[in-house]
Amino acid sequence: MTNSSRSRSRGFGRLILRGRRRIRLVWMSATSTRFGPIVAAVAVLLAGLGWLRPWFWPESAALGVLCLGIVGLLATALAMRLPDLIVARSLDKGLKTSDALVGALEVPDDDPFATSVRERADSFVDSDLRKAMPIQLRWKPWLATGSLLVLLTALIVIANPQDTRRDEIVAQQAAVDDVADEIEKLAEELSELPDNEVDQTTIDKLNALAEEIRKTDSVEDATEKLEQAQTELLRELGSDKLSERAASDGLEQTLEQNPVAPGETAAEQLAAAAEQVDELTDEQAQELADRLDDLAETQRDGDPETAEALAEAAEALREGDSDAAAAALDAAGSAANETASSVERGKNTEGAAGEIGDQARALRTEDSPASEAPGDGSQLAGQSPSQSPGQRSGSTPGPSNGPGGGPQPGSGPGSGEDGPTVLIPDGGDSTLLGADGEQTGSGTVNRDQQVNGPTGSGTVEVPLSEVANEFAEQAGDAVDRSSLAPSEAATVERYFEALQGQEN
Amino acid sequence: MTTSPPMNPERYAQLAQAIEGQVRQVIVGQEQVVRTVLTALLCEGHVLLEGVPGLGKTRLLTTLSEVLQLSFGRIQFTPDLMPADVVGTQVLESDADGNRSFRFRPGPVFNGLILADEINRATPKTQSALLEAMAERSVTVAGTTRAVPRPFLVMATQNPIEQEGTYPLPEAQLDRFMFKATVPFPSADELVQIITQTTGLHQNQPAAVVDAATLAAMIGLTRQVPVPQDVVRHAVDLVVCTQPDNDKSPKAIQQYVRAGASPRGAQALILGAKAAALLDGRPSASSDDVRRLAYAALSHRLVLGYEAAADGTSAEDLVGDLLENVPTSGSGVRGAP
Repeated sequence: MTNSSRSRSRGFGRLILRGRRRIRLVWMSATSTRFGPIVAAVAVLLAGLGWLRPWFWPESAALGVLCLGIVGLLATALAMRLPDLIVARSLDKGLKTSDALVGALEVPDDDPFATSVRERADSFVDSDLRKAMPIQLRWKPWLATGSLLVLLTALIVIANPQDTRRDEIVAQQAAVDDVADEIEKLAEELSELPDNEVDQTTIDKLNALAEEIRKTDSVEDATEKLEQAQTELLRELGSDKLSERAASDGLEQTLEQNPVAPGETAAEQLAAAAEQVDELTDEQAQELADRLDDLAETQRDGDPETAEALAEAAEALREGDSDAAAAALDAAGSAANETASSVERGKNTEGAAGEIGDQARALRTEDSPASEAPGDGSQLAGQSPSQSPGQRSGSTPGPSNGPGGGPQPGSGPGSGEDGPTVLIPDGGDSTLLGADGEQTGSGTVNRDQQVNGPTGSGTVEVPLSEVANEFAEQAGDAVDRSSLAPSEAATVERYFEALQGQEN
Repeated sequence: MTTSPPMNPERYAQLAQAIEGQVRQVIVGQEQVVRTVLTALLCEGHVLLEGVPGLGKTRLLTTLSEVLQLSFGRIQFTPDLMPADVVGTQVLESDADGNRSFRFRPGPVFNGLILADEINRATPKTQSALLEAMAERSVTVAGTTRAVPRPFLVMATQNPIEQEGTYPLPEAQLDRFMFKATVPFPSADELVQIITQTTGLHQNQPAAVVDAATLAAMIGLTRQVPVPQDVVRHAVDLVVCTQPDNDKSPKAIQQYVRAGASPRGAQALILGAKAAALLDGRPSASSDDVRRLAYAALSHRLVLGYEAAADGTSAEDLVGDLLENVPTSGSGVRGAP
């Protein structure tokens, strides 16, 4: 028999259509009966995981599995390919028509039996398909599915012990994102600075760092990455940069206090001096040569190029070669200017490293609430050479609430010439030590100390002998961490050694 | 000369019903056997009847010959029966002038309906003479081939009890029979009716319903019945699954059957299904028809191993197992028939 559909009656077509719909319905019923308990069990298992681990996905996954099951069932039923022959077969079996419908589908138009075959098929078009293809509802699988769905609802709705942990994770993630925002903001601020004041590599690293910590899934990892980034930035600065900075700052300060020519910066003064060389008397030239030699000596370690140019200028002045002196002074000004720019870039990089370190400490505090130990505010900070004497700032973030944020006036006579001064940590009577190590003044150290935990406060007065060693130790740590020039670090070290010796 | 109306499914069903009605006036019970024989007759196939003597096998044939107005020949097979006793022989005759010539004297095979009674008692040579006529519908004697009359139906009987001194039909010859029917012993009520009916003065006489030409038209119409591919496929599946080396065959078949049904088995199923559909008044054959005829068409085509005899498993049991394990084509959709 060949397939022929030309002479099928409309009623027969409707019967096939009804049969197709009925088959889809019956299939959905049978499939959900068979797989409903399995899907519900999987959903319950997934939801149960949310009670065991602080994962965010189990409940969504459970609902997802459930929805996927329902949607999949409907989609498959609709997409199921049901050719007329399949439908006719099923109807024949359900209606017990002895293959009348399949026969009607296949009988060729020119078959002598075609008419009677089709008439017989048409006699079934009004059959009740609900009886022919009943939906078989087996109560046991449906009871199992229903029970599992109730359990699933309970697992999702009832608060579980992992909810608190999940909230904490959300908060930590938010903190990490905040830190990433801060770092991006810092990078943006740096990018707005002139090119000669900021290193583009630093900006790129900050942006990369922000992106990287956004991807971390724990505060610990983020903190670790921040600390690594800070260490890396500080390592890049290196000791050469520190001595360069010390030399540049020293030159600036020296010329600011005792100028060689009019001008705000060292470079400007040197340039102005170059222009005035021709007008100097021999005595003035000799005096300037001596100054330049002194300045060259201070720049020898940190800025050899400037030192060389200054020494050449001094020599030219002594020889009376004003042109050579002017050229050397110009070169010294340019070199000093270049060094100042380099120092400025280093400062910004160091500032970024400091900011990263601050953020790392803030995150670590976020990660471990138990770290809310009382702060004593004694940490030395702001060791940048540009910081004015007598100032300190407590930069420890978090719950540390000890004193130490206020400026400390220096009261000692401080007789060092143009040298850096160092502040005694904390205390009402601070002692200034001149750059040449001359110590004047003495007294006890007063400091505010938090004695009873975060909520307690009080003031104690302790003899210097009791805190001198501690201060020396803290100063040593601070010097190790800071970017002080070796000569300044040695000054600090000598100061605290002297302080300890005095008390002993 | 009257012209008979054209054969169509309705007339076919009416005539078949009339034939069955007339046969049942004489044959009490045995509806399944009668239906099987009539189905084979309408397919122009041969039937092997198995049953103890006295169950009405001969009577069924003689009644059919009267109802169908076909010539009837009976051959009682015995060990000394010769092929010529079946197909006929050349005899030397002399006319009035004294001229001698050979004349063919046809044997009983030249009848429309033939009863080969206890066919397994004759020698294989004699059995072969009849079986050739069944297959070829012609007989060759002394170099001359003569066609047997049409329609041509051979109904052979076997006595399943007395097996001593018999020559069981080989598988190839059994395969020539379209159907095999086992004639059951009648129930007590049927037996009462038989006794009452056959021991009185008056006995039912069947009336003729159709002639040979009408029967030939019915046979022709049977072959025109459309059969859906699913039905053909199911018949083929059944036959294929009787093969013991088929992976899909039921375990019992694989265990007990030595050789499965031949393609003639599938032909018998489909042709029988066509006739069965018309007999039921349906214009197309169905898988149900095939399944109903499976016992008659397949059981005698299964060659059983000694394990079957040892375990007491019959060919009918195996066909039943086959029907259980080879379902008809369904939608293949979960939940739907």
